[in-house]
Amino acid sequence: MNQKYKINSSILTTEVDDELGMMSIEKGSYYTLNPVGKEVWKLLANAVSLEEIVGELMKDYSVSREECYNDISSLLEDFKKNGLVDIV
Amino acid sequence: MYKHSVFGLKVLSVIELDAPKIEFDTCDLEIIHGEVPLFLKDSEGHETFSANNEIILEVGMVGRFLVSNGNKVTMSIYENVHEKYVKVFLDGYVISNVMIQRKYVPLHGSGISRGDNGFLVIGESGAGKSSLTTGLIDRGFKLLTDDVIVLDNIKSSYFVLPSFFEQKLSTSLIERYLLSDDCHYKDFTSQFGNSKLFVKRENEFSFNPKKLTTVIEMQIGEHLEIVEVTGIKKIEILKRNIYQSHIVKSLKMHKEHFMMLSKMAQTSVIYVIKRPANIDTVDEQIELLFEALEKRM
Repeated sequence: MNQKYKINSSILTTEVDDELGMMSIEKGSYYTLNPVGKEVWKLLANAVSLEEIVGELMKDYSVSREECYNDISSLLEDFKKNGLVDIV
Repeated sequence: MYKHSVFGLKVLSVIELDAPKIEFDTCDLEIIHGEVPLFLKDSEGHETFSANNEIILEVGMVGRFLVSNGNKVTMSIYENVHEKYVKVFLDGYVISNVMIQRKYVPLHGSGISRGDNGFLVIGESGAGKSSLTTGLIDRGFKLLTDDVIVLDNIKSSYFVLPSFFEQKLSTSLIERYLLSDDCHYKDFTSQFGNSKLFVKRENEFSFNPKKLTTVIEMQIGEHLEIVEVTGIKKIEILKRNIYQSHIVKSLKMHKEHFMMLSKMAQTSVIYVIKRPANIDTVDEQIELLFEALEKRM
């Protein structure tokens, strides 16, 4: 359960007008993130676990721990599915 | 041999081009007549049209062009084909492949300038690029390039490079702006599947690169409107206007594209102008654009 996630090294990241965008070189596809996704993405620059991400976000957002956990868990699943992050 | 400057390259050509003339000793690009092989061989020995930074471009009824390493174009022109038809393809299709081999990412559209500011007018064929571009030149803008846009990264800014001083225009645009009297026609006839005419714009040309500030993407819509685009969508707009993206893709330059398009998106303002089909709204488009530009000043 305590696996850690990190941005896949083939993913390029850019910021335009405060929006974060990523591109998969392999797939040639673009992705954008909402503000929370952007926070998570910044944390993923280093290997972090789901627990650690939730811990960090709970400092800034007033949501229940359970809600935050579920949202981030599915976001990480999305990242994984699109090859944006690796499990390390 | 003729000496020209095209997209910042020193070009030595057997055909006189409609591009600025300059003096130099060593050229960056040579355009010559010569034999063009039927195929190239790739690393596995297979016959192909594109390998090892070389590409063969077939142009029906005109001839065949071999573009090599971004520094040489060899032309094998069919008998009795007039030079002016060769130039039509040199100016767009061929030169864009030269620039791709030199690791540039050409965009499809025109580049114009006002003062020190460079503008791009991009969009799909028929969206109204030429009409807006010509309208803006009529209001004092200068032409930098038509059809193929090449940008160069100079001191962490993107500059729109000047290329040929000519525009490909429909007869209705030529008549609308009364260009027929003072412009040189090349009767590029419909036998080549293109009814546009070439108009010389030497007097309305910007001979110096201009810093990119504004991009306008033309689209067909329900009614006339201008919308500023922000965020990552700007990259998508630029990406879909890459010239012959299939060629660029095959050269596996994704990373460079992304970095370039990101930087362009970060440093320019992008507007989408939607216009209704089949109605002439150029003057209104220009008014909307000028209003938007003034608001930002």
